[in-house]
Amino acid sequence: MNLEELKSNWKKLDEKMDRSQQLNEKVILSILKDQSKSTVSKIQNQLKTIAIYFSCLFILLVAILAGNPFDYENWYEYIPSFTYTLLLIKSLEIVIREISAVNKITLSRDNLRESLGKIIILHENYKAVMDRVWKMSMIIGFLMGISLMIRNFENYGPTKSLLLIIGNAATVMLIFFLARNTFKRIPDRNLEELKMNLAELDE
Amino acid sequence: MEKKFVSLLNQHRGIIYKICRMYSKDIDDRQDLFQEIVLQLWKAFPSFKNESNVSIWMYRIGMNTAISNYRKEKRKQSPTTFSDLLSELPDLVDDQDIPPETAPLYKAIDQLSSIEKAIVLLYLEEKSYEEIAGILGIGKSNVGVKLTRIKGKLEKIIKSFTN
Repeated sequence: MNLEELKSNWKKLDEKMDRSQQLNEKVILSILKDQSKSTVSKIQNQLKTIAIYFSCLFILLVAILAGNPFDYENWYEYIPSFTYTLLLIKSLEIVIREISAVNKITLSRDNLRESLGKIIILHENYKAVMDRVWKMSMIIGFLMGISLMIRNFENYGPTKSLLLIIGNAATVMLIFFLARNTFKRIPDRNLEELKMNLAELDE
Repeated sequence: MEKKFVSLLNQHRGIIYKICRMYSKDIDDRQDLFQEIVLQLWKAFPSFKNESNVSIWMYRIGMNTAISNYRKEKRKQSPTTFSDLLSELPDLVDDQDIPPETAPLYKAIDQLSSIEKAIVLLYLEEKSYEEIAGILGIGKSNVGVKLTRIKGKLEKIIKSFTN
C-alpha cells in the first residue's frame, strides 16, 4: 500500500462529497451570527473585558478622589489615590494599544507559515501585556491599602507608619513572587504546539 | 452577498469536510471546527474578489484556522439549534467506505503531526508542489523532501500495526 493507491480511494470520497446533502442556507446564516472561537477572537474578547473592568475602576477612583469619602485633610493624603489613578490610566492605555494591534491582524491572505508566525507573536505580546497589567495591578493594590491607612499615620507615629508600609509592601511582593513562580511552572501548551508546528515547517 | 457565499460554500463543501475530518477526533470537535472555518471564510469573503483558484483560497483559510488560529476546548452545550443540524455532516471515513487494505493507511495518517497531515491532504487532493508550497509557505523542494519523509513514516507506522 502506498499513497498513490490511497489517492484513487480518496477520489471516491470526492464522489461521496458530491452526493452529500447541500448545506442548508439557514444553518450557514446562523453560523455567521455565532461568535468566533478563534485564538485572535478570544484574545480580543479577553482584552475588551479587561478594558471595561479598568474603565469602571477608573470612574470609581475619580469619583472617590472628587468626593473624598475617606475625609482626607492634607494634600499628601491624596498621593496614593492619585498615583494609583495614574497607574490605572497607564494600564488602560496598554490594554487599548494591544486591542488596536490585535484588531489589525488579518490572516485571510496569509499562508500557514505567516499565519503561525503572527499567532505566536500575538500570544507572546498578549502574555507580556498581561504581565505588565498584572504588575501594575499589584502596585495599585498596594497603594490602595496605603491610601486607606494614610489619615491615621499622624496618630500611629513615624515608626508604626513605616512598619505598616513595609509590611504592606512585603505582603504584596510575597503574593507577587509566589504567583509568578506558580504560573511559570505551568507550561503554555498552545504556544509550545504552535512553535513546534512552525519549526516543523522550517525543517 | 450571503447567498453568493452559501452557494460558493456548497460548491466546495467537500474541502471543509475533509479538513474537519483530518483535524478533529470526534463529531463534536468536527462541528466546532466546521463552524469556525465557515466563520473565517465569511470574514475573508469580502476581500476574496473571485480569486482564480477557489479551492486554494479555501484550503489556505481552512488550514490556517485548523492549525494556527483555533484551539479545541471543552465543549459546552450549544445554545443554538444548528448543532443538531450539523450532526448531518458526512463522516468522511465511515468504516464501510474504507477498503480493508486502505484502513491501516487511514489509521496511520491519523497519527501524523498537523503539518504532515496538511501535506498529505493537499497531496491526495492532487495539488501541485507549487500550490502546496504556496498554501503552507515553504519552498517547493521542501515539499518533496517532506513528502518522501512522510511516506517513510507512514510505512513505519503501518509496520508497527502488523507487529
